[in-house]
Amino acid sequence: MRWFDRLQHIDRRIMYVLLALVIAAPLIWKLDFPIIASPAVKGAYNAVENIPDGKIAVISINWASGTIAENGPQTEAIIRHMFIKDKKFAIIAWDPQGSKFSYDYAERIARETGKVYGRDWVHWGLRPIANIVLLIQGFARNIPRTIGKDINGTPLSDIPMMQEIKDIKDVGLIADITPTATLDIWIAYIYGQYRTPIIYAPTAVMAPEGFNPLDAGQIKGMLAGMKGAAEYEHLLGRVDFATRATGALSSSHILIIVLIILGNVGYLMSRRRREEE
Amino acid sequence: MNHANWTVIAVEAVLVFLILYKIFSARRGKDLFIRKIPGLNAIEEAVGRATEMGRPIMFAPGIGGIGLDTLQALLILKHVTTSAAKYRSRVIVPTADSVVYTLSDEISRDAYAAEGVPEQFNPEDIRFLSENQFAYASGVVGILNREKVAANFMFGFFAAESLILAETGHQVGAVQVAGTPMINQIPFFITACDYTIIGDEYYAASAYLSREPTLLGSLVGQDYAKAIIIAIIVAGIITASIFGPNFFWLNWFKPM
Amino acid sequence: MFNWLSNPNTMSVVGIWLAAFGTLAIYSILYKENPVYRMAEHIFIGAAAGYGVYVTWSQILKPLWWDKITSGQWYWVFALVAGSMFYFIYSQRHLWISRLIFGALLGLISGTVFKGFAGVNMDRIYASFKPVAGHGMTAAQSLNNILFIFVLLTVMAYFFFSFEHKDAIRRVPSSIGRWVLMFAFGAMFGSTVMARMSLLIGRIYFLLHDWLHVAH
Repeated sequence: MRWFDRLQHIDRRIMYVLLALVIAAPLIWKLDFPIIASPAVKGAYNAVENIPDGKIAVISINWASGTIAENGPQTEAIIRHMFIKDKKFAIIAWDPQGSKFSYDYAERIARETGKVYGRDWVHWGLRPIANIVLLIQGFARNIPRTIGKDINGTPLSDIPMMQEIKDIKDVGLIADITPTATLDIWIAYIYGQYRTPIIYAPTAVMAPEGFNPLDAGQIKGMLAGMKGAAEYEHLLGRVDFATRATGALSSSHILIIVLIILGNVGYLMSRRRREEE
Repeated sequence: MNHANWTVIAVEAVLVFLILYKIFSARRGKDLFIRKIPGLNAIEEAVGRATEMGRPIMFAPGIGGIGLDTLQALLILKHVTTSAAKYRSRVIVPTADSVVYTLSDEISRDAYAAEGVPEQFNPEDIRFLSENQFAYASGVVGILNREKVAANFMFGFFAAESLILAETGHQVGAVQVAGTPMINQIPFFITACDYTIIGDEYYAASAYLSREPTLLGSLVGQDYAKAIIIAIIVAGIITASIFGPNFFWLNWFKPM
Repeated sequence: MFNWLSNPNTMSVVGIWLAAFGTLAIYSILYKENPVYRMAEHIFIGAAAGYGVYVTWSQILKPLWWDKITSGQWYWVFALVAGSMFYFIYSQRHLWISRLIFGALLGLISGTVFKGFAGVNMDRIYASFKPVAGHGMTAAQSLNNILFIFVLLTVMAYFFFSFEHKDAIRRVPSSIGRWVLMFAFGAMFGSTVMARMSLLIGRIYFLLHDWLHVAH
């Protein structure tokens, strides 16, 4: 086999080992890359800053452990921002694991920032994703009746920060943190009818779904995957997991680009040789 | 709450009328034309190849529950199992939803019976793996590897697990044909599969294969609907270019 | 004797070791199919099924249905009747009962889809009325809008099914649409590579940081 034929047939196991190495190295030996916040992330950041006083934000959590590396840092950054800026929020979860993770995150960051459950934040608990369309329509009209109790079984009427929160008019922002196609549901039944601002924090796979609504003004901003979370951390002036992982993300991309180039060089050379023969 | 304005009502009414009109024409027996969908012929080819190799076929109907996307996938499953039954080949159907599991079982059983080989149907080939997306994916990956699947069909609602399935199918050397209305998943199918049915072609595929009048009619009706939307957009662009983006009739389309 | 089992620190260490084993076992398929992967696969599927049953009861059925019945809202019993109707799909003789509930459900979904269509698409149709020049636009904005319109129309042309794309007028825009789609898919694929790398980084970080304590 000639060298250029070999380039097209590199054993995938060698590539996996290389990939593991280029990811591990920047994590072990600190390697930082500059981070510049994109307009989409700045839009999301500003939307949080502009939540009017007296209104709450609703953070919709639809992710599980499978996408924790992307949706986890996004959730953490958005929650931290809300705590820092004294924006009250409620979390609603559509996935059992996401429900637990989001509760733990908010509880930990609340401890760090001196915030109190029930006064500064509340967790509405888990709801079945199959009912999302009906549930958010009901919640838009009457929050206490649709949600009923929080994650601990306390009626919303007994939770201080929920006293004045009646319907969608009392919600100043929806943050959809998700690995699946839930954005259009929020746009269809909340933004389309009530014009409540939405920010979108998808996994990078789902990020292309956000460009159309961003162009049409249906969402205020977007955090695309781990990179979006790192940009958000940058705006918050923090170095958390997403920022620490950017070195590994960049080095893995460089390796993939190099492999693509090698594969294509091999392909073009073999084709040229075949034509010559 | 804000209600739909008259433009929204008018546009929706026209679109509904067109689609219903075409469905009723198709039901009355009017022959409606659908262009050939590239990739569909590959289904026969892939089934034939699996038969020659004496290895099984896999049909993954996605991770969605019973809804439009999955129902269309099941129509394609019917076509695949019927072809496989002709050649006495096995079709393994891993499912992620209990109702989809039951329907797949029924469809496969009927297909083998209709081809006169009910004994060829093995109920254990229709498997319920898990409702959890990645648990389902790891189960399918295991089956693809263990059963040495020769033809892999993926039709239905797929999310982040699509590349895991398609990549594994590619690794085991299966001929792969895939289709999903989830536009975000198409790039992975294009990269790892031999034939991919893109976006709306997915709905066209099931109409093309089943020749079901309701599907045919709605597909042709949707074409008319798309033509009307294109006309509105082109008129809007011309108006906005000449008179500016705030010209009065353009605002009719501003929902609020 | 088993007091150490209830110690949270011990459980946390055991949990991390189990998670590390699970991660490595699942990744072992990258080398080849093997019994360790198979075992992890079956544990994963089994755990997901068991956890699913537990969560369905403890976080959905109990608080949202059972507790309501036991606290006096007896009419929630009817939800059981409606829910049970789905199961008649398994009976050839009483299939019609399941059709009633499926019909009702599909009707409900169709109604909400109409509402959703307007909510999602009318804003986007409106947003596509982009002027191609003038009205205070810069050359770059103008080029952007022209590109947007070109892509929108050619891609829509590709998705017409009821006629053969034979002559040039119908064939050319549709084939350009296909090419443009391929560009978009390439960009989307790039985005996915980033997603996949992020997930892998998450797992490698867990192994290096939480398990081996070598990452910063």
